[in-house]
Amino acid sequence: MISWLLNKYQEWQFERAFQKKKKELMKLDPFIYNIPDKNNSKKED
Amino acid sequence: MFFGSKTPIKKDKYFINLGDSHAASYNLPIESSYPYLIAKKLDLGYVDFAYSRTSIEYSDYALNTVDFTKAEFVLWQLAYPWRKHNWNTQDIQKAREDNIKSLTLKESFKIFAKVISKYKDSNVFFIFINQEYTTRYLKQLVKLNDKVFSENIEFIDFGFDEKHGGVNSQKLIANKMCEFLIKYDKKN
Repeated sequence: MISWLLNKYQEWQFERAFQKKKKELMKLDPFIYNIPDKNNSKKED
Repeated sequence: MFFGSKTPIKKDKYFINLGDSHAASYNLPIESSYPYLIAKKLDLGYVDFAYSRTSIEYSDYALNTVDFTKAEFVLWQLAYPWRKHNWNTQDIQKAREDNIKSLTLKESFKIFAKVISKYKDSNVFFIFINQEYTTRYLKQLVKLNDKVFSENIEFIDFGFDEKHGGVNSQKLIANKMCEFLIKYDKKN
């Protein structure tokens, strides 16, 4: 019972960390590309 | 929309580099990037399909535009699982369709497990960078395919944008991956 509860708690913690990271990155990461520079497209966002 | 490839180091023996901005030497000189450092250490060339803000399905598509079995190996940095790629657009600005906003941790496991299982019998190695939540199920993913690197690599320094790994992080990734690849090669 205790290990089940512990597992559930850990699962909740990881889910929370996942949702937090997803939210943070989505905010930083709008789905807009800069038009690549053909001579050096490594530098595009 | 497919962005093509580059060949930063051309040699008969080469590997293929896949992933998003973390694999694409984002805002760093290419000579400091981990794929370049790995190529130098292993005396190989490499073909680079990595591209910023792309998805897992994008990497999968890019890999299958070539006969990847001719490469010594493929090094695939798995992108964030909530990204979706739009194949239908001809407009580069719309190439990434959207994020799957409702994605759960369990669903992210399924996305990773699917691609990792698909390449189980191929010479494709997988790494996670900056995805600490994967530690919840990384052991399970390694059980599915032992070519998954068993830790999520966190940055030890940052590039100027403070979001991507800096020079020391690139060195760390290169060292860890070379060690992993050599160990795997000896074991098999």
